[in-house]
Amino acid sequence: MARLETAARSRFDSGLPALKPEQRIELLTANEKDPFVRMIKGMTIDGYYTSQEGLVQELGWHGNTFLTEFKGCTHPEHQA
Amino acid sequence: MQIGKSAEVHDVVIIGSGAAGGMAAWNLTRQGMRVLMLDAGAKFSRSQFWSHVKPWQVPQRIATGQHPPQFYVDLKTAPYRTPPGQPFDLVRVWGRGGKTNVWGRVSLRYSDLDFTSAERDGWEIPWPIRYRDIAPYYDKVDQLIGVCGGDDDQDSLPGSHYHLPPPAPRCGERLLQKAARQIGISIVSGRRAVLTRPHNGHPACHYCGACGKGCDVGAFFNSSDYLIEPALGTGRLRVIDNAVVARVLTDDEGRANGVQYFDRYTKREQRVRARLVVVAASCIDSTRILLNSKSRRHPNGLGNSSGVIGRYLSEQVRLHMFGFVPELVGAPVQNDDGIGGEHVYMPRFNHRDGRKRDYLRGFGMQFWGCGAGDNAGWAKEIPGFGAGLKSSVKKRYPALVALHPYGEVLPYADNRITVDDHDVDAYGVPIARIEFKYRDNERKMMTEMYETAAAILKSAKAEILPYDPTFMGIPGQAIHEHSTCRMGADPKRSALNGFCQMHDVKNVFVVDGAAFTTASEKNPTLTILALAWQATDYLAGEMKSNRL
Repeated sequence: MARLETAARSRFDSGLPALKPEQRIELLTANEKDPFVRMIKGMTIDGYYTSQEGLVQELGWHGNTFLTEFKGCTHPEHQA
Repeated sequence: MQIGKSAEVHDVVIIGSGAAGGMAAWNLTRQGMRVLMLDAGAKFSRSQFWSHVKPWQVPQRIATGQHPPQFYVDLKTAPYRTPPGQPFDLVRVWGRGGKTNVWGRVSLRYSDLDFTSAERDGWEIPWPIRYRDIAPYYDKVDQLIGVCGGDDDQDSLPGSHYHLPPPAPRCGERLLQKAARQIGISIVSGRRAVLTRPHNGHPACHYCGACGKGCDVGAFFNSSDYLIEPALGTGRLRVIDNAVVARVLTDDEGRANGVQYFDRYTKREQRVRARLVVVAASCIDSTRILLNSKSRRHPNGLGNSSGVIGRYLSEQVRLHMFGFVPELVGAPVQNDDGIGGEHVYMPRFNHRDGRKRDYLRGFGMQFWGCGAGDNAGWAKEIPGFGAGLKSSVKKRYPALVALHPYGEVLPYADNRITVDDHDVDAYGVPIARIEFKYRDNERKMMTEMYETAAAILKSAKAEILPYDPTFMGIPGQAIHEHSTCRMGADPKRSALNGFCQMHDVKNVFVVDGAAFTTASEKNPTLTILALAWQATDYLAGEMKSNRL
């Protein structure tokens, strides 16, 4: 966290909380391999994509329900 | 503390309630025997399963103090030891049905390629049985528990006349099937113990895909509903819950005459008497019990004059590779749950067509996780942040394909379980020390496993998620432990005969994965069920003819 704060100040002359969204993305992208950044990104992905907003509304998951039949792939072009 | 003793002498005491113990109880009670089963846990209530709890409801429920069923025993209750830098992840379920409550349901028959591997390559001892010996039992198991699958038959993966209809493959699975065929690799219908139609009084699968949380309707085989309940129905089975077995007890001649256990919660010691003991506590715990059952007649553990018990621990080596097939990138999201886990399987092929390989034995491949899942953990490997990342994830989400090759680990004498009298659990019983290492053969096989998975993905023109081709995985995570009390024809090099009966102690049978001579690349449960059925048929016959 302190490393990111220092990087923000040297790159944008601003602390982390005051960065504009595009500056935040630029900073994170430049530090993508940083273990702390990886951890935060991983936790965000796990949290967001198991939430109703992330999993259902964003990705369109509509599983874990009762089906009487499982049709599988119905695209004619994918059949053997 | 006073030791609890019961005067009753049971025909058979079975240690464990998983696939092996359940089969033994079912088969022996229906043949008229009076059976006592000792289970380290209790029955799980299907109405309490979290099968239909959505991912975002899990943290909400936990925050209000609710808990899913505690299938997995914790390390405080059931500790084990590994040497520094040599991890082994041991997964155990204490409770009625054991791991079959949450198992992967992959139900592959061993072939003679597996049973004769040692004859062909000279590595360690051969199996004392052949496919023709066990095939009738595979047939009976398929009919009893219900296994869905195709009608194909290969030298490395025998077919069955009794498969239920296979579920239709998902789009991603079809595309991998096609891509593999283009490079000469066959991917067939998977064989899974999931009911694609009602079977023997059990309902059909409703395709919710949440099998790993336990099935709320019992639409896949679990030992509790499919075997132990019918056995209880005969009136000849009694189950003692929370009975953590420590030792098999023996008489002055070295024959088994009972079992010592501790109550899981009160820790009170109990002893029960038996004419016969069937050990089915899962590979490592069965082995620990045998090694701890020392006596003047059995100084190295029960039935261990050969010294093989505890040795040759065979897990499997596996990897996970992910990709995105171009036809499905940005496609409409489907419900890909199906029967939970893969609908297709790649049988072993590396022995065919004069293929050269610099290692022994082989590997197959599973494909669980293809298509739209209930999380997107793979997105951690997609570069970027913010809206750009979200759009990269969204378009790839329906296109995910997952490849999981499983390879055989050779039996090595030094991959082993030992016990130490000074290192004990809360019951005062010595715990298992597990020493397990992959060696050169596994590393070489792993190279070809990575290359094969990558070749299928390249043939599908898929984008491949970054992977480390030197990563061997954490041993134990395949949850397929075998061979630490292996069967064989030679009593000097094996502990059991082909009927899972101890060479040294005729009234003890070991019927779980510990009995396997070698591991093969295949998931073991179907073979455990077939071997346990065959072993208990033999046991009942011997008992009726007064040879036991």
